Amino acid sequence: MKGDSLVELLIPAALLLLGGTVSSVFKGRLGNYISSFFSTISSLIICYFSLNVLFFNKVFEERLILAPVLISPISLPINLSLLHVKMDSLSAFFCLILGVVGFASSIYGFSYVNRYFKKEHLGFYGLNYAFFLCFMYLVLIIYDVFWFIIFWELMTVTSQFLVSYEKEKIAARKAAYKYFCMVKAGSEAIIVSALIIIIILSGMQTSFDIVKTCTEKLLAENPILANALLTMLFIGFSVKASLVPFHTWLPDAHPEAPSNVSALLSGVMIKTAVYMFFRLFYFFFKPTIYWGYIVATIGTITLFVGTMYAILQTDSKRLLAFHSVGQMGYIVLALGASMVLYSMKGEVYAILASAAFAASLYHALNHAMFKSLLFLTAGSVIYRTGLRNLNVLGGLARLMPVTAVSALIASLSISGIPPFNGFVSKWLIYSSTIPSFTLLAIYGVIALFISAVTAASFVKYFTTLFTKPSALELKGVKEVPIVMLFSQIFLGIICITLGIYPVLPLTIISPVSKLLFPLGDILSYVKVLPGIALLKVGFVSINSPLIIAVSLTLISSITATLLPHRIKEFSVWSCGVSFRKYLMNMPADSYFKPFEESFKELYLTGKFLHKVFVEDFIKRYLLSAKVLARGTENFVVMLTVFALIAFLILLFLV
Amino acid sequence: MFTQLLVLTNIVGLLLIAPIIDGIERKIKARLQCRKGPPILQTWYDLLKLFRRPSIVTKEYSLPYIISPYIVFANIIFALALLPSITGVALSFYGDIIVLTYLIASSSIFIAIGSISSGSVFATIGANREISIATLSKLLIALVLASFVILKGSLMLEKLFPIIPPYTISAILAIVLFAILAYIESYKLPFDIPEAEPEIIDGILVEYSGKSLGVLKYSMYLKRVLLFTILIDLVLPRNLPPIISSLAYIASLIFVSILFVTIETYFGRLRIDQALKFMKTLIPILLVVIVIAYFHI
Repeated sequence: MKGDSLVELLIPAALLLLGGTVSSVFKGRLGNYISSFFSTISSLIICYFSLNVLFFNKVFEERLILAPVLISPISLPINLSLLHVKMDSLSAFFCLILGVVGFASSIYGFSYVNRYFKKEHLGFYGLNYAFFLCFMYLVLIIYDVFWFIIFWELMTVTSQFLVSYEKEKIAARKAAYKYFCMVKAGSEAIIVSALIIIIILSGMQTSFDIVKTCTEKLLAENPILANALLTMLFIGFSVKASLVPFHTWLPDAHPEAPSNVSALLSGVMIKTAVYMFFRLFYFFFKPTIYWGYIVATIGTITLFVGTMYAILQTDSKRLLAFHSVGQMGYIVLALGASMVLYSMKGEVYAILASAAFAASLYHALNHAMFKSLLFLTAGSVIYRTGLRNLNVLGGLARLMPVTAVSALIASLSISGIPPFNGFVSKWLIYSSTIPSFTLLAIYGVIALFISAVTAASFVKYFTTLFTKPSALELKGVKEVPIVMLFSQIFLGIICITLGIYPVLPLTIISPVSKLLFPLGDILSYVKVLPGIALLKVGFVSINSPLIIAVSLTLISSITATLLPHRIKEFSVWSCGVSFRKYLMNMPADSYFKPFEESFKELYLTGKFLHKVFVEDFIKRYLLSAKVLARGTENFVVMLTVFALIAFLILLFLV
Repeated sequence: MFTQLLVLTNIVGLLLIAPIIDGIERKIKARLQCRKGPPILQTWYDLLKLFRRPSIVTKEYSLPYIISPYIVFANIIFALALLPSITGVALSFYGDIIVLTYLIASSSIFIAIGSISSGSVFATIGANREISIATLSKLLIALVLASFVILKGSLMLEKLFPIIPPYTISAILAIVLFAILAYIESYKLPFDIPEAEPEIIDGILVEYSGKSLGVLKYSMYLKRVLLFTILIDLVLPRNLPPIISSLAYIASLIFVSILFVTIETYFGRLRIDQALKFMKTLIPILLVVIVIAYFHI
């Protein structure tokens, strides 16, 4: 317990706890302002710490003794009083995501959340928002399995309160229940039980380092048990990561939260599961080819299903939420691919493996940026119009130009159009999977196709919101307040920077690979020139989005300037009849109908599976619950049960 | 520096040739339909006239409507720089083939966004068709690409071209399938569904006029040439002396365009769902090609 380092890493957490608690006192706007202020400050501090770790190779590590008095007399089996936090490069990478997205969404919240003023208790929002950020931060930096469980639970609870924040809406309450059932009651039971087994196996020592040596020993001595534990943990975390088939909670839950919280949920919270995947597969356990194929297959299924369902959606935030599922698929596919390729021998596969490893983290970073930007733009539309329905909205580009441009940047980023950031990470994914001469090549092809589907659905998202004529008259709609614009522009600039300057994210990823990746630093395989990431050897050589960006912009600007505009306005041509503004447009429902129909087998299968595994299951569950309830209403049954329990306790004591 | 100059020669040459190729196509189409047809330079005259005209915009337009033709043009130009065409030299880097597919896809996306932004419902319908076809063809392109990569073991166009020799079944099948894809992507009858003049009055182009229309049309001609060029590069050996190689390229460009336009004359337009169904039937064939390519058959 050193004096100065004691508080350092926990300052943001303490600030967030303080801010949340104080803000909960105020019912009005002040509650939101206090919480947003503290969140903004602590996000900046989190960014500072993580940048320090990533760029200057510092490692922050602290052991905080919570209640020194308590431990000695009682002597619990687990040393609960010790809070061991450590920010290594992996934590720092995800903390950076948290810091940046948290900063943008907190600033955005200053103005956005006021739309709930007088309808809801803003202090309650403030409390949960700050606590949510705090527990996400603690989940990322905690270095102790036991406390990890606690913070993981608290993170889920607070996010669940935020999902059901508009408590009058039935959809919000339903989504929160579903979220609770799947994530909290379902997945966390698996995670906790697996972690408890691990704690017991490691002799009640809960620090990550000790657990790591224990799992390594277990892997050598009893591989079946080790793999069983890994399976449990993987299933548990994949519910949080919303991998298919455990994705169904996400498209319900994420849209219901306030938009800046949706940005955090999709941008950061599901990334905590990715963080745990990296910890599991590269830190606690060893990457193997079998697990690699399992992870990559699940990733491919996820990206396919998530995106194919996203293209059907006509609710702006629900569309984005389905894309969160799809993009998580890309991240997980890259992670699995890196494990497969690492396990294969040879120089070429080493390069491909490090490219895939980099791609996974790079895409996680990119996804956090563009997805939170997309949620913020959807939020801006809600802020001004109150609508999420893409069928009736439209024509907002003339009324909200800055929001439209940031939505366009984010849409092009997620579609992977060069030179935006999604392109580079997707490029890394394809160039590591397609030339691998394994099953991964087919996965890469599917990912390439799905990227086109993503682009199609974002043509729909962007044009129906911003450029197609609207189906109703939108009165008094103007650009959103300056704080909201600031967050959007901030994230938009980051999206472009990460695209045209891929060296920056690759240098951030390099310390992570030094810590985790068995082949060592990815930068030793990925040679870096200014703006151009050159992979070593002739085989994988160049990725020059900078060149692409510069040439594209140059050529288009030259052509645009050479040909001067002479603009005259005329009404839209509608075959001779006068143009009727609110009637003559195409609703979002009808977009890409032929394309969707050509994949109707997929959707019918999905419907069938949903009926079998969700609807019928719920029916049966409700039936059994009813039987149980009838049983417990009976006095005699209750008495017997109590007697039995009492008997068992007595037996145990004796 | 020399490479850049040669690439520039490629681009400038194709900029000059592309409208002439279209002129040849129009002439041949007319001859096949027992008409006299316009002069071969007619497309150039049309373009020059369009560039001189002022642009008229709709009252409902928003920004992408103005800028997207130029972005489409830039995308196509950049894609041309990646391919060896008149000279056998191109900008070459690892994974350029992925960049190429993305540039083709992004040109479709920008055409769609731009035309929807005009506010016309006909343009929206056309854009929807365009995106539907472009999306499904991306799957086919990805599959063809995978079979090329398996055949040649590289993601670089430089090492990919030419696919034959060796004269394996899979290589020939892959080239034939790519030819079909190029035909679909160049929006020739029966696949000119996004533009469909009689049904949706030119669809994606309906609200464009003057310079914007000129730029869009020009980029469409260039896109056709781009697809033909990929097809030619797959077959044409590049170890000939430079002048002969250039002449061989131009001759094969004219040959491919004549071949395609002859096919085009014998078809009427398909409905969008029929076209998509046709494209779907290619998927299993491509999967088979990939498998046999893996076993070097």
